[in-house]
Formats: sequence, C-alpha cells, structure tokens
Amino acid sequence: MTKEQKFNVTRWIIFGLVALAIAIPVIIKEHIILPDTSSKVVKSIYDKIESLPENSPIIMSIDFDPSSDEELRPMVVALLRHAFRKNLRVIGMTIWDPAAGGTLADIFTKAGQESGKKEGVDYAIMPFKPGQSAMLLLLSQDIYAAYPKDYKNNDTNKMPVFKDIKSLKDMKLAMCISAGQAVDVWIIYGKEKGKMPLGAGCTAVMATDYYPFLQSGQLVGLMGGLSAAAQYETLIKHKGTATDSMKPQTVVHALIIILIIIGNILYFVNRNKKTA
Amino acid sequence: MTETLTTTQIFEAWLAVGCTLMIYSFLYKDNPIFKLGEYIYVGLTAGWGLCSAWFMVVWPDLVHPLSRAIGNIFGAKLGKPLEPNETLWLVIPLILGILMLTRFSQKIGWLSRYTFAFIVGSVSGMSIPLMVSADLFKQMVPTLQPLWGEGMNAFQTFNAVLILVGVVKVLIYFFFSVEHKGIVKGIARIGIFYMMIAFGAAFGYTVMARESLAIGRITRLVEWAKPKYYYATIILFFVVAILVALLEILKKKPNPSESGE
Repeated sequence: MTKEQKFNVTRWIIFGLVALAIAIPVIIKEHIILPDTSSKVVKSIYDKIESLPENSPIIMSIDFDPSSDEELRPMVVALLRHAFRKNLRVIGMTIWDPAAGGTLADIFTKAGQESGKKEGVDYAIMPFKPGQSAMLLLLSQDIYAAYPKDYKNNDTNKMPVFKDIKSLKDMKLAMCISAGQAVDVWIIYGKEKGKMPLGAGCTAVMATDYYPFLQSGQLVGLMGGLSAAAQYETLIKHKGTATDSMKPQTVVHALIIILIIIGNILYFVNRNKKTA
Repeated sequence: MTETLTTTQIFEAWLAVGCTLMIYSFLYKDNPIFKLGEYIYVGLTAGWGLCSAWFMVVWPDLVHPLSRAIGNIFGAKLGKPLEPNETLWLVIPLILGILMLTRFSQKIGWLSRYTFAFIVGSVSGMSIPLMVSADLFKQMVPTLQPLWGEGMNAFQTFNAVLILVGVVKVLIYFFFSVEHKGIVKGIARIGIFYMMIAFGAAFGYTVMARESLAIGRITRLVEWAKPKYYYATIILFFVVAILVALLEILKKKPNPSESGE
C-alpha cells in the first residue's frame, strides 16, 4: 500500500467514525441525557429580555443565509419564543444578503404561527436592503426612511407593531444573529448611533472575536454557536433542536479528543523511530 | 397519529437528499457527481441572488420609484400621489451604478473609478470616527481598568493584571522596530503564549461550528430515511454510490485507441 493510499484509508476511517458518532446519538437521542447548563454571557441576554416590560419593541437582525441555518436558526427560534412569551414587539430585518431575507421571513413566520402572534401587530418582517453601514445609520435617524414598506409591501408607518418607534434609539434591545461581519457593523454603526443595548449571536467560529466587546459593555451578551442556543433553550424551558444536537456534538467532541491523543502518540512514536 | 406529507414535501426531501449526497461524495474523492452537485449549487445561488437583488432592491428602490417620478413629469396617471422616495434624485445612484458596469470594457473602464471614489470617500467619512470610537477608545477602557480599588476582589485584580500583561506583551511581539533579543525576546515569547491560547480557543470553536453543520445535515438525512419519505436517504445513498463507482470504473478502463488495439 502506497503512502497516499494509506492516507486515504485513514481519512475514510475518520470520516466513517465521525458519521457514526453523529448518526448513532441522533437515532438514540431520547436515551442520552445531558446536564442543563447556561453560561453567564448567554444568561445576560435572557435576563435582558426578561427585564423588558410587556409590549417593548426589540429589533432582530437575521444576518445569515441557509448555509449557516443549522447552527443559527435554533438560536433565533429560542430568542423569538422568549420574546413572544414576554409579549414583546419584534421587528425582523437583515443587512446581510438577499438570501438572508428568505431565511428571516421563514423563521419569523413559523415562530409567529407557533406562538399565535399576528404579523404587523406583534412582529414585522422587513425586506433586505443593501449598504449595511449606511442602512444602520439611516435606521438610527428614521426607521420609516429605511423601511417605508415591509417585505409584503405594506406601509410600515400604519402597522401597530411600529407604534411610538421613530428610530433605533427607541428600541429596548437589538440582537444581531450573524454568520459574517454583521456584528461588527452593528457594534460600530448601530450601537454607536442608536445607543440601544446590543446583544449578539454568531457562529462558533466567530465567537472568540466578540468576547472583548462584552468586557467593554458594547455587547450585553453573546451567543456563540449551537451550544449557546442549547443553553438558551434550557433557560426558556423549551428544549428544541439545539438541545438535541448537543448530544451528537458531545460524542463527536470526545471522539475528536481521542483522535488528537492518538495522532500525538503516533507522531512521537514515529519521531523516536526516526531518531533511533 | 402519523403525519401525512404532501407530494411537494416528499419531492423537496428527495431533492435535498440527492444534492446533499452528491456533495458528500467528495469525501470519497473528487468525482463527476460531486462536480454536478457543485455546479447546480453555484448556478442556483447565482440565479437566486440575481433575482432577489432585482425584486428586493433594484425594482422597489430604483426602477419603480424613478419611473413614477419621471412619469409624473410627463403627466402620466400615477394612481396615487408620489411618495418621498419617488424622486428624480435617484438618477444619481442610477448613473453611478451604470458607471460601475463599465469595468467590463477596457476602453471606458476608467469611468467606474468615479463610482469607486464616491464609495471610498463616503464610507471613509462615515466609518472612521465611529470605528475609532467603537474599536479603539471603547476597547481601551477594559484594558486600562484599575488593578485594585474599592469593591474589587482578588479575582478581579487577577483578571485585570492578566489582561494588561497580555495586551502589553502581544503589542511588544508585533513591535518590529526593535530586534527581538534579550528581555524583548522573553516578553515577546509570553505574547506568543497568549496568542496560542487565543488561537486554540478559536480552533476549538471552529471544530464545534463545523460539527454543528454536519450534525444538522445528518439529523435531516436520518429523518428523510424514514418510510414517510419513502426511504429517500437509503435509496439515494445507493444510487449515488453506484453512480460514483460506475464512473470510477469507466475512468479506469483503458481507451482502446490509446492502448493501440
């Protein structure tokens, strides 16, 4: 067997093991019980929403497209369930790309139907608009100039959900759930101009980039990846897809740690053989 | 009670399973089935993006309001009065946008520089003060917090020292005007440890993110393997595997003309 063939066989074994480590816990998920935990940074978002009085307006920027749907959708669904349970008014928007507009409409419509909320009264869905930074600057001055119509072409200034809202400054909380650099744009333009509390949710890859903004108080809380969504589901006592996904996640983590240890052992054994 | 699915839902599931398995066939090796899946994805995304851009942005924000504003000048019946965004000022972004498209021509491509100049100038003007405030000044506050004082416990003091030491040592590592020798080398080395910890944390999160995507897909594939979807995953798995194997055999079979037979 050549070196390349050996390498390919090793790759396929690892792929196979990872596939099994995911598929088996997915099939037997009812039999796996994980402890309920929540981190301080996730709980601070929960506490912020919990502290808002009924009917307070919040804005949620859904800045991801279907490629990150598996990781970020559970986060948005959990946040919406909490907001709707608290009877908050939620305005959904996106500054990311046109594909995010479809994701936004799909999540909000399903979550609204599930909670028995009415579009235009309890929540609103805004269409995608380009020009991320310019868009947020406009939103911080006049929300109706930025969004004269919703995604179904209804006048926003006639919607009950927009009552007493003029700009971002009137929002009691802004949440940016992003798979890209939208959180940076929200921190620099939305937060600086709107001055409202800002929370962020992002893919796990980006989470470490935003911890410094927690210390400075520019973010009220941070949700990084699927584990944060699972923690939020625990906090709102409504377990869903994120909690289920943490079961295979835990098994795969263990597998990867074992593989790293085996890889290191083999590396040192081979090195010793060469030096001998 | 068993959930009844519509034909559309079943068709969607089969389509999604087919495309997923086509892409996953890359795990075996680069092959024509994967390429087909890749081209479908790229074409679909480009087409969908173009249509979305037209119907969500260009038509409602430019073409429709501008045509109404022009129609108003020529006395066309508009049905309802002009709205504030329906103005002739939209001609300016229209011209700037058209100038951007001149990039495709070598002869008049230079015209696009006017649009780029406008974008660079306006975005810099908007961004610089806000970025300095958000990314520099506000980030300096937690870095330069007091190391001890009233109401601070030992853990907070330890954190403050850790942050201060980390920032200073990483900055020294990136200070290339002084040769990294002696004490500077020692300090820079601690800076490297700080960065390695940060990279390790980032890598751990990255692994977690990729796992999440795989978990989401496999969860759906398991769901679509159920009888209510007519075993879409199982059937299409074998179809894709057989196709990949057949193409591999055909590829390996020597061409008679090349072998001289």
